[in-house]
Amino acid sequence: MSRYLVDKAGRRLVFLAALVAILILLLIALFTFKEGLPAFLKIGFVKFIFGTKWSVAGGEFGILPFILASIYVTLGALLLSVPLGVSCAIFLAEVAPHRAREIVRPTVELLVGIPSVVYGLVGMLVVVPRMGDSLLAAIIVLTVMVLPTIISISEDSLRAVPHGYKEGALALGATHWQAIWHVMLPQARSGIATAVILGMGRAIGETMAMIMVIGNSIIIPTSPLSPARTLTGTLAMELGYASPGSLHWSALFATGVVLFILILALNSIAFIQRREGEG
Amino acid sequence: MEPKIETKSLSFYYGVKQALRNVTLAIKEHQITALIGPSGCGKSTFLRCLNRMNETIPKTRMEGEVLLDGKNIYSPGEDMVEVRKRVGMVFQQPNPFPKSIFGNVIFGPTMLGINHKARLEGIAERSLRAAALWDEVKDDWKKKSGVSLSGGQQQRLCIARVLAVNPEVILMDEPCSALDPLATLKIEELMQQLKMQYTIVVVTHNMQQAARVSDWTGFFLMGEMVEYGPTKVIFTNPQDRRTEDYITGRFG
Amino acid sequence: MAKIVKLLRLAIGVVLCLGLILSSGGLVQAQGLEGTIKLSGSTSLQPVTMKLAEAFGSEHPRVNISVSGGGSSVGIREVDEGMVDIGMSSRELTSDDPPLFIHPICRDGIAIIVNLRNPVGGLTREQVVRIYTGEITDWGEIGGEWEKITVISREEGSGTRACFDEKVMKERKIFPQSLVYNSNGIIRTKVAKDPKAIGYVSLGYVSGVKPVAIEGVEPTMDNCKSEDYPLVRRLLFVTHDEPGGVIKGFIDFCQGDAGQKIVAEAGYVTL
Ligand SMILES: Nc1ncnc2c1ncn2[C@@H]1O[C@H](COP(=O)(O)OP(=O)(O)OP(=O)(O)O)[C@@H](O)[C@H]1O
Ligand SMILES: [Mg+2]
Repeated sequence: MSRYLVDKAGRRLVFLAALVAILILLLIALFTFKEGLPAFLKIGFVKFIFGTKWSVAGGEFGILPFILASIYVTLGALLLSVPLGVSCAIFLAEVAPHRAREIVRPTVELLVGIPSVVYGLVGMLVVVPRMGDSLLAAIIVLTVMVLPTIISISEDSLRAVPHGYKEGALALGATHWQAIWHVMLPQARSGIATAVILGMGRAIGETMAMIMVIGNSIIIPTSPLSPARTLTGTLAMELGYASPGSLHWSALFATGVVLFILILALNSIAFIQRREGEG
Repeated sequence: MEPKIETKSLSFYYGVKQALRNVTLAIKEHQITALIGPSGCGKSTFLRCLNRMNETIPKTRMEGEVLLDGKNIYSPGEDMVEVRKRVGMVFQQPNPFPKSIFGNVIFGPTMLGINHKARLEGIAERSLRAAALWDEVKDDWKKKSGVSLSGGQQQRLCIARVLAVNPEVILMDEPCSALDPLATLKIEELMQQLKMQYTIVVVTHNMQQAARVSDWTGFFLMGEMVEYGPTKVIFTNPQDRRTEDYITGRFG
Repeated sequence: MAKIVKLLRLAIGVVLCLGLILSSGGLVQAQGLEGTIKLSGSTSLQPVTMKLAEAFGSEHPRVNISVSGGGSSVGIREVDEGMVDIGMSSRELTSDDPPLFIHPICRDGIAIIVNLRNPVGGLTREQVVRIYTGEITDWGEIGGEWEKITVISREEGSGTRACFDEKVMKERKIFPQSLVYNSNGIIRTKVAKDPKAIGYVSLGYVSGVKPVAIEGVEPTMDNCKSEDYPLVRRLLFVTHDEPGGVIKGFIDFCQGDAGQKIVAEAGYVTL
């Protein structure tokens, strides 16, 4: 009886905690939407999303350059970090001698905890002098930032693949590489997708390090070497100056709404990919 | 007749722990050889030495020779992938890949570079027939996942998968231990059919099974091969006291 | 035994009370001011304000001062909403801002800086304008090496940018291809690392980079004080009401000799 009660109370508590968490998130979203709504109404949805000029003094608020920059930077970083990170995970899980792994793995995990300003600073002093303030510099910095996450989660999921699968493949005359590519990787796909989703979240949300290397010019980037400004960068740089209730203020919150939707969309794509991987 | 596989003074170590001691054994072609012995005596270790599977385990060491058709499979020029194609293996736990039945069977041939669809289908059907699984799965073998089969079906799928690579020897490590008596019977019948074409080495804990299906039996104890001979002799007139004790169940 | 302990406790208590009475009495005699002051706003003003608060606090131990950043607009807003007592602003108030009382604390020069290796040592205002509008794109056009100029600006809304816009650009607009960074420190580092870069920062940040003369006038402390150098702005405290009490005390202190000495030490131009 009492065990039943404890069980019930525990379940209620967990449910309540979940509810509170969701409620808080909902409130934040609601607040953002509410503050951003006037901008959508006054500027017009299409003109806001597809406008290419952003000038506070001129009263022009178009965020297409920021949207494109955020997407380019995120996809660029994933394009580099996923193959690199997964290769590295394969190396650690399957190839590296035990001792090498014992050194590399904690180092990789340590990198996850480094604050992004440090990455930004290193990017500013090492990457930017070689290619200028640009999308590419931002992509490289981001790649380095998300690599540790992708490596460690991918490695974990590779290790979680039942040993029988690998042995089964090897016993059928597959080479080690074939066993990894055709059996272990598909098996670890869902874990790797999780790594990609997390990496993507970090990439699109990253602000500090991006602001320091991307140049923040309000232009539509035309090449990897062109500077650009991301959605988060705009928010971080300008929110302090906007007076509440002004069109600028509202436009910044509307930018937040777009960021919110963009993250949602990218996550759903990755999520569906993962689902298909499991099915 | 020349033995198909022959081991000479085979010793094996997991780190410092010795799991096999000087095992010398000749396995005849187109015969079923059963390996019996108490748990932990080294049967699996021995089996895995025959297709170089033990090399996937780090910190292990082997001494002695394993000859396949008279040639040492561990000599520097030999490729272990090549060896595993010639010596297939079925594991104790059925381990089909989470792919379709078809995908499972053609895995080996695809790895060998065969990608002609009709040819793969031919191989797959032949292998499934040979593994006595065809009739049960022929309707949805392209769609149905190998993992969704019953345990006995899964094990036959694993056998079909091995057959598709067209090996010369099939190693089976307790292939029936996860199966019910009916499924076990099916696998045993299958082994009888397969021995016409293949040489089979099977590890089993089941005395009756060894007596029923095998032509030759080897008895292992604590890493040593105590006695090896025709199954009839081992079960009716063992030379070694320890073999007799084990077979009659007077032994751990 | 227990009695002795009791006695000891009593004795300690008496001594402690006496000490407390004496010390607090001494404080009350020496100090007139007490209370708390909250400030927020411009990050350019934040460091020097903290130094001023420290000095004021050591003279008036019962005054508690907290200084936080957020940017000029945040300071202006929070003063207007009554969340802080004093807002710090590195820009002049505009007609969009609420009506507030203005108390200049110090002035700041804005230096236009280039890399130390850049041979260009002076520019006309017109040249600066044409660089920042993207009409001049190469150092070669203005007496330097033939290399493309990396133009770095501050973000819209910052006091430094507002001053630059007002005093240099006038009605011209900075071209959108210019890089934008949101702190003096970052811009200094960028210019120090990039031989082709040009940027502008507060006078206090000029080190490791070369300040260029505008119309032949170097951005020195003296030239800023006399306002011969054109890029000088006021840094302000703003209050909601006519200040009184501790708040007036603090502002008077900052504007007075002692405060201005601290201001000068911090690299700012005195009033
Ligand atoms: N991967 C391994 N690492 C270390 N020791 C091992 C490993 N595999 C087996 N051993 C040891 O080697 C000895 C022989 O093991 P093996 O698996 O060959 O026995 P077995 O005869 O197959 O037993 P069972 O009938 O229980 O399957 C055992 O003592 C076992 O503990
Ligand atoms: Mg075993």
